[in-house]
Amino acid sequence: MFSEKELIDGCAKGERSAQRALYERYSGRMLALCQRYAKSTQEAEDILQEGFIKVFGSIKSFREEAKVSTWITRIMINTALNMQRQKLYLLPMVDVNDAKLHEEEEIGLSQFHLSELIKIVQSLPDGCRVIFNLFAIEGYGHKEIGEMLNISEGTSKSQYNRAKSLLRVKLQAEKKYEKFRESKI
Amino acid sequence: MKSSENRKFEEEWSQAFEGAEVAPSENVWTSIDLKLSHADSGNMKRRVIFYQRLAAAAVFFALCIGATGVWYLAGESEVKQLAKTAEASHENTTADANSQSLSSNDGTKDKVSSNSAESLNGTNQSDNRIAYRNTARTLIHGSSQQLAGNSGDGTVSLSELKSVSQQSEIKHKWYDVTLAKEVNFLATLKVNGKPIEQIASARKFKEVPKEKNNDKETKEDWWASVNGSGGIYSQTATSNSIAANLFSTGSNVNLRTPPASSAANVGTSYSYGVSVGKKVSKRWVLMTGISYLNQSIDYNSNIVLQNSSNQSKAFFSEIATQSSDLATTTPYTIKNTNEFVSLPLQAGYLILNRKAGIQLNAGVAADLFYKNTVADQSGQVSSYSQGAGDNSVYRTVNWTGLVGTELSYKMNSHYRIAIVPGVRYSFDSVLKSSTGSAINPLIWDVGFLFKYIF
Repeated sequence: MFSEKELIDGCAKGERSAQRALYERYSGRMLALCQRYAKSTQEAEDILQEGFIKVFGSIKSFREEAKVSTWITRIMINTALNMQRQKLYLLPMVDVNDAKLHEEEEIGLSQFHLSELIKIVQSLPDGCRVIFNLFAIEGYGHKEIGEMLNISEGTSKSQYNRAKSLLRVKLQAEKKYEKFRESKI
Repeated sequence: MKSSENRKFEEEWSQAFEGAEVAPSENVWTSIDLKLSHADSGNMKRRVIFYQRLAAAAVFFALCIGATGVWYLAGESEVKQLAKTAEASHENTTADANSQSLSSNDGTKDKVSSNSAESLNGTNQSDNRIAYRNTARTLIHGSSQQLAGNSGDGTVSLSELKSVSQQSEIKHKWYDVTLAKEVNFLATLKVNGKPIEQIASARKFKEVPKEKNNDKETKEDWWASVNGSGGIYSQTATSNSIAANLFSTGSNVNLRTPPASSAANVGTSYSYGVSVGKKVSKRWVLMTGISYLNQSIDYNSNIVLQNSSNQSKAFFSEIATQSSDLATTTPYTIKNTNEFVSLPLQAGYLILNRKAGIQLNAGVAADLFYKNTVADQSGQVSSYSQGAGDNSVYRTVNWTGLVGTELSYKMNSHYRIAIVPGVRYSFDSVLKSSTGSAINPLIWDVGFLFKYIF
């Protein structure tokens, strides 16, 4: 069993066994991440593959200031964004004033299996999906997202709002959600 | 980062995906592995190109040195030829002069004997003497002529001899050689009753270096050597259609994905053996011998060969045949090693053959295939090997071209050591055409020779 330091050193030397071990340690988590950004599992695996090539290619520059997992996550997100960038240019420019955020309400995600949630997220339009992931899951603010995607903060907000609405509709369409709602009433 | 915008909705989603893992398919790592291998190969390729250019530069440098040597030696041999002609003529002349007892005419103590002057004029001498006189006269810028002319009356004064010597301020060594011999000859004469030897000469001649050319040392007619070499191995290869067909036709149920193998760009090669050489002319030598040759290179492969008892052996697609029982496995690294017995025949051109030697070699070798071994680097599956023969996918005889430069140093009359940077390229594919693949090895190596000269 490799320690994290041994993994990094081994990968920096180009040792295939260390590269394989690093891949096996993080590939599952990273594929779950990639699936949220991709439209399909195949596309997610392409992002994963491309991301790990970048990880192994630039691991010599890893300074251990952050956790390896954080660093790899960042690379995967960037890879996903790069692969989605073409689609992101097509984001509709909606003014922030037109975007109205929905009120808080519990949606009972614990009722859903991970694969079901991934499927629901993947069903979102490209722009919405990316912004939803960045804002809701990764924790970026709209200003940061605007800078990352070269869009206005308002667009990010409106796209996120749209994502929320769509997700709510999609969750409501599921029977599990109905049962959850009924139990709450 | 967002702050106040964190609401229940986001928290719920964030928690739902926290620690989520989805197992990727095996194909992802296969693709990553192949891409990394190609990237490694690219790096190695750049290194190979660097070393190839370095080797080419070394060969070019050796050729320049050789050309300079040839140019220099050509001038040297011309000078030596002239000196030899003069020496031969001089020996004949001295013998004739002595036979005529030039110094025995004591009656004319103050004068050089007119007989000797006559002998200088060469009226009764052989053609050799005439040739020598002409040469010597020319070489010492007519000083002998002056001497002979002055001796017309049978006398040569001391001042005249000094004058002759002083006029012979000639810079070339071979002038010195000839002049020295001329004056030795003149020493048999007497001036004013004294031998010329006793006359303080106005010119001190340089000591003529003793001729180093000992026949035994320079001939190097026959030699034997032990040799070894090490180098980088690369190959040009074409893909195997048979292994792909086995998959596409579905004839092998264990082949779940297409067989894929990729060789590293560079492997290693080494050889050792003995050789003999024969000098067939002043500049040309012929060499032959026998040596063991080992070539190995890494492959990434995703197949194994299964025998009747389902035991897996390391394998790669290029050596597959229709009867190969293949099975897909996770990609792994193998070392493919080919062993040969090589019988080279080379001609060498001696650019420089002195203490240091430069020789250009070219020839062919019949590489007799001995054994192929495919070994799993991780040791998880057993090795596969095959020898030569009808059942082998390897050709028994492979013709290889050899080119090299031998840079040597003669340690003494019997031993010479040399380094030999060179290239060898197989004209034939080492694989039989029945495999559907072709592999032509290319080797850049540096050899070491230890020669015994008979």
